[in-house]
Amino acid sequence: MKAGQWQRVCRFLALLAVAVFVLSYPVTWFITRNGQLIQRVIPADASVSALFGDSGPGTPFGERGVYLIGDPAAFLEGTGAKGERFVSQTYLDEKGIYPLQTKTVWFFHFFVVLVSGVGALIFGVVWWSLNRRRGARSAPSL
Amino acid sequence: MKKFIVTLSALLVHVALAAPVEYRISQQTNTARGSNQVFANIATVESETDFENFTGRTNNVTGTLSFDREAKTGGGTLIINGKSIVTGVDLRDEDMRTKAWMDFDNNPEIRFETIRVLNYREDVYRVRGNLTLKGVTKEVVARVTMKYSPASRVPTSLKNLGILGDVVAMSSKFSIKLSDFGIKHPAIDAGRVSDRLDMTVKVIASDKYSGDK
Repeated sequence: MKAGQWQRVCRFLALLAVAVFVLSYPVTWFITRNGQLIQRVIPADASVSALFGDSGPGTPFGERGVYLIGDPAAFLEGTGAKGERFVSQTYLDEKGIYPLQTKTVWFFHFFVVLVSGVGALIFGVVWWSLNRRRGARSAPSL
Repeated sequence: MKKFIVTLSALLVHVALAAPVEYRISQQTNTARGSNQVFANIATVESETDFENFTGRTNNVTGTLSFDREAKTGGGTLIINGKSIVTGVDLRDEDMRTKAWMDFDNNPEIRFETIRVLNYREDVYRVRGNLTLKGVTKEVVARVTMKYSPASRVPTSLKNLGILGDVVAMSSKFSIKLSDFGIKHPAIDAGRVSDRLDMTVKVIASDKYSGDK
């Protein structure tokens, strides 16, 4: 491959990496925009809950977290002390839904940003270096 | 003299009432599943990792509770079948059972045995006990809620599960460090998986079940 071709390839990859880096933010925001603070519960009979002195919709399952749950049928009535909505873990199990956490989405976003950032830097430096060398060769000799 | 006899009788009655009663956590309460589930004993473990917090659970919880309602004290043993814990991801469940993590393949039991019980307030207790995980035993302190209900107040739905006697509804939450139990992994050292594991247990124990002689 000639230097000119390498230069074009590196420029393309550098610009692509920058585009991915920049676009990853609004894309991640778009994916996580419907995240809600949720407490998963295993619904329990009210009379059984009363034995434990519980007044909520069931047995809490795990800690509260911000989840992306698109199925409205999974939600139960009421909200918790911190405004969290209740979601039936039994319903999620029956439907085979493994709820996605916004934490997971932002984790993968971090890697996209890291890889694209490093890629933009490497290809950018190589492109600049090739460009400089090409410029030096085309400069008229005295 | 009469006053002395009355006081002594009252004291004896009080002492008789103050005797601890043994309640069993039975597999009978673990059988109902799905939307029609009335209640099932449950134990959960929650772990924080760098990309998600996950919760593992099992309904395979057994044991015995000794509870003195008058003296507000008691004790017991809780056994959780660690091998039956599921997290929703099969690969993770398999990993969890290996020697690198909880080693449930070789040490399936998570066992908690009470050392001392202190009534904190009303139905809330501070329980000190020995927890055994991966064959290692360490002392832990758990916050436990114990609520007694006589057989007459037990819902029919539970009686249909075979719970016929008085019940004690127990719920507990405590945290441990995996490293305290010999669970050391590069993912923990790298901070990708938290060393802390939160455990909760919610069970119903009774002094009489169908099938008891």
